[in-house]
Amino acid sequence: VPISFLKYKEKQQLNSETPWHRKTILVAGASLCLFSIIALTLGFKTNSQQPQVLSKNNKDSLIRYVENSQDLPLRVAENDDCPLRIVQATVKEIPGSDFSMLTGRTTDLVTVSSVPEVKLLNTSGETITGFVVVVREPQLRITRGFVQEKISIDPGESYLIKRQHFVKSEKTTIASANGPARQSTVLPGLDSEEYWLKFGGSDVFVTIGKVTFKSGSSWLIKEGSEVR
Amino acid sequence: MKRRLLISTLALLLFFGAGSVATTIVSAQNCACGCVWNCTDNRCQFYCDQCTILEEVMASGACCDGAKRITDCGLE
Repeated sequence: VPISFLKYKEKQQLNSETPWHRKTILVAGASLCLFSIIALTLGFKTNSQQPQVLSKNNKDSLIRYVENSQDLPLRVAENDDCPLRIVQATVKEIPGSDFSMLTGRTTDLVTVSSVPEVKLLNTSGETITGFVVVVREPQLRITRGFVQEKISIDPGESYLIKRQHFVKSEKTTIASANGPARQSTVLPGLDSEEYWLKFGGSDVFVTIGKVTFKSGSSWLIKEGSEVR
Repeated sequence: MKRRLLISTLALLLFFGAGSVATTIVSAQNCACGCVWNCTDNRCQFYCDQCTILEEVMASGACCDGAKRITDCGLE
């Protein structure tokens, strides 16, 4: 076989393979570009969703500002025959951006309300030993509250529910150089998301769900009108 | 419906976080409550999802009774 013929065949084979290689390179290049764009987009999105981190001083200032801010009334919806009347219910309200800076958590809410401070009055003729307080968003059917037992509210006496009552305490371990490590219970502050409601809007209300008397009898909430 | 229930339960578990003595109760339909018993104050914080107000008072009560039973208050 003449050498020129072999060279011709080799060249022909090379020519036939070139378009396939080009296609592969093109597809690989395009994929690389596409993945880069997706990665960049996701990166930007994640960055934009990350809340701004505050320095300790700035955070303390913001906490002080929130603590000193005006108390806003929270809607009260209760049954007329409820033996424990809600005299006053107030919340602190902050913009969603401040909530993110305080707690490090993101929120879709424009304004975020704290758990309320509620002033109660025993309007019954009996001593109250327990109750259930409820903060509710009736449309979404989400509720947050607490059950209180072993208390004593005499007839005509008031009782103040502090914000901390809605917040569960956290256990922390304190280690010291000299002694053994010990566990301590700490109440989270305003920079904890526990202090804030995950729902908002004008429909949110506070109510008393159940009241227990010293005699062992109890009063239970009834659905109707605003209580839903 | 099952998916919604699963999401609600997961949300409740996330709300109370790992490491706490927390109880979750799922009652009629989609009504689910999660709670934590606090021995020092005789108080039980709860969170309920997809309950009517009456269901939620009953379910949170049951949840708190359960949480109280499993919480070792002697060690608090």
